Amino acid sequence: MIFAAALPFIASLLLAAGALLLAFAAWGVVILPDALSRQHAATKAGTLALALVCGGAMAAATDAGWVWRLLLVLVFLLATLPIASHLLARAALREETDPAEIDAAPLLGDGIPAASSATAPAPAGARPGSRVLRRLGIALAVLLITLTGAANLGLFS
Amino acid sequence: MIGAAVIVLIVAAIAATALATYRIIRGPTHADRVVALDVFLAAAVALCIAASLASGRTVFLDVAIGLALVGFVATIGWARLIERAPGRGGAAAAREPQSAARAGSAPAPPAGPPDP
Repeated sequence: MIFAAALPFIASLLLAAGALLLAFAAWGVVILPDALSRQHAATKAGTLALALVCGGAMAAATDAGWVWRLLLVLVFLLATLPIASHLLARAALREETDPAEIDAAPLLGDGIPAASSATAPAPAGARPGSRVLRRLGIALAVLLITLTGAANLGLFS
Repeated sequence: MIGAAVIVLIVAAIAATALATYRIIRGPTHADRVVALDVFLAAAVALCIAASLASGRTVFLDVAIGLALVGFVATIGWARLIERAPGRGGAAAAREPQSAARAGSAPAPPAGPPDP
């Protein structure tokens, strides 16, 4: 009973926290110095902000259809935003940095030196990582399209 | 209570959109603009949730689901495009001759611990 009475307060608290964090994410995108830092701010803070907003709306919801749809949005964002940001960070790194610097960096195992030329032999296990990632993304997209269709057919409400 | 929180959410999403617009206009590289586009996506999803909370209808939540899907595909597409495009020395196509020459002249990378 007391939890049900406190639910609107929890909802508005989560919504306001998510809103503030979203504004902070955009502020970090403006003030941080280079593309990777900006992406760090936008992805991490933005994902947490959307998760907080979804949680607040779930606490404010009145029936089960709301909660199912918000869970769908939340699961989808939490599953796809890291993959998208990983690919975007790789693209930003290749766009910004010198190729010699990339090849000399010891910490990039994920196919960045291997993709630079077809002549050099790829190190073992470099390409399958990104292939697994791509297949994971495609499988997630198919699963979530199916779930979206089920939600639109009214299965969850 | 919730109405005030929804207003705070709408104001914050509009502020985030304004800041991301600044970054899209000023961004020195294409990756900055795509990052700002991600912020646009987050603000749009937050605005959809705020619209459904304000109007009490679940239609806008379906819009948010579709928006998240389209945003994911769009970000991956832009990332692939940036990766393939000839840019400031990071392009794969522009690097082909250099890396072939490097592979012929200097076979070992200069620094770093050996890969396991």
